[in-house]
Amino acid sequence: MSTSSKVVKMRRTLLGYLPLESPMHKFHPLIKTFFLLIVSAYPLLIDPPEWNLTGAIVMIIIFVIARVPLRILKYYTAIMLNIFWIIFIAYTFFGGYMPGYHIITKIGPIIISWENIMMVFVIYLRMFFAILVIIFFLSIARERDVIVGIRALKLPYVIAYTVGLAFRSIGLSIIDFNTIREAEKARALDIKALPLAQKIKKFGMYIVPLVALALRRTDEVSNALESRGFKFTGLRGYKRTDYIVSKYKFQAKDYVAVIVMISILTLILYLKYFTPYMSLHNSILLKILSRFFEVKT
Amino acid sequence: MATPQLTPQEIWTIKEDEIRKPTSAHIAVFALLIGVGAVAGTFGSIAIPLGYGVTGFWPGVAVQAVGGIWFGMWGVLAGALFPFISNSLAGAPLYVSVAYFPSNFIQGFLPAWVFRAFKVDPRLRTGRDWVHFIWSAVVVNNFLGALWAVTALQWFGLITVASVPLFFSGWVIGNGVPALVFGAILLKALSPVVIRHRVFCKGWWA
Repeated sequence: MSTSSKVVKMRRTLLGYLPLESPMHKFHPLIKTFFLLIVSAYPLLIDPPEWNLTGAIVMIIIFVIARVPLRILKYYTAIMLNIFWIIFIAYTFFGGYMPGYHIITKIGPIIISWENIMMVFVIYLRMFFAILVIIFFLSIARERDVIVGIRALKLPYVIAYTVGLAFRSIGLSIIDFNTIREAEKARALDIKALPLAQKIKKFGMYIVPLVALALRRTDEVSNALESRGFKFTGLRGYKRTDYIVSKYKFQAKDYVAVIVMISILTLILYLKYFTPYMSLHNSILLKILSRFFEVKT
Repeated sequence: MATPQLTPQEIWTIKEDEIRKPTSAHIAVFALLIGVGAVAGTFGSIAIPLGYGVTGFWPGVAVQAVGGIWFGMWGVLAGALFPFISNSLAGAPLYVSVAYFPSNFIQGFLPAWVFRAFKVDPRLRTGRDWVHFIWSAVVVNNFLGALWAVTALQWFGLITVASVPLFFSGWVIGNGVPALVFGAILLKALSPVVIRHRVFCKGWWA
């Protein structure tokens, strides 16, 4: 029997799976780390919400170009909404009041002002952009990428090994966690039927066997390390063969990507500190919103 | 033959002929603690989120506290680093996680220092042990951690002065309760084994 559906080969990333044909696999692994370090700074430097909104839209376009499954964003919908409500409550009701604020309404002792509502939009869109950046990184980066990045930066082998083992141990802890849960299910515990408070309490109790298993694994791992002659200082007298790093080379597109990211960062810094374009006062979106709230700024 | 009971003094004192050096086992426990902490921390960050990685219930803090007590600086550093992973997975921006580093460091460091300085029994056998555990691993460490965290959030312009009590209390309670409950369970259940294990650190590194 033949099947008409196309099989898409995927690669495991820190957050899910990325199709093999994704253009992100063609970049040097270090570029992904650079992306996280440089692009994460953009939303923190940008104040006008329309700029952060543009950044968020660009990120979603990059998600599509990179062929990152957009269903990953669904997992974060609840978190995004939650953050919105927290920011909304924190600023609208606990935002404080200063003379000169434009009062929209009063609810008992609480004064709802335009300045606080404005900050809800400013902060939320900043967070929205920043969260998309971190989700994108986790969606495209693999454990191997982080290790190759460290090796490419010529950091000591012990650091690369420890980071690799730390990432691996997350996977092992998740496997242990699932084993513990399966054991509970086998003893007829219906976790789904438990109220949220009980679920949380139950989860906390998993830490004890998880730590116990980690301790046991410490012996296994350290015995394996010692049997292979592992030393803190690394090899002395001759160079370690860096097979994993030799598989990747910095190419023209990698340099272009770094130059583009740094150029945008420089431009943002210039606009923020040497021009009025990045001030909230010149924000088009805030001007539209102030009209909606009938506030004369 | 039963193993002789160690006194708190014996647990922490390095004998004259005792050689203690960091080994590969410490590297392994450091990495594995990051793994356990990341799993515990991610769940907490998602369970009752208050935003920016601050949560109403964070069991990861128990790993920070006991990690520092048992494994010295390896545990403290693991406790300061795993929130980078757990916060990121829970949707906190990178630089917010970076800003939390001192908070997470102090939450592991303070109990680690107190247990070593006052030779507190990690098996929590006496009232004195409990008092030191509660003030250092439940109250003061989380208070200091929260203080730094809300300062950082305010510095980033993510929260207002008026909303500081909301986030501060969220951090202190969200960390304090699991630190007390799970930290105590971990210490009571596993300390008798850990103090005889080769990865247990009497000093800061070994």
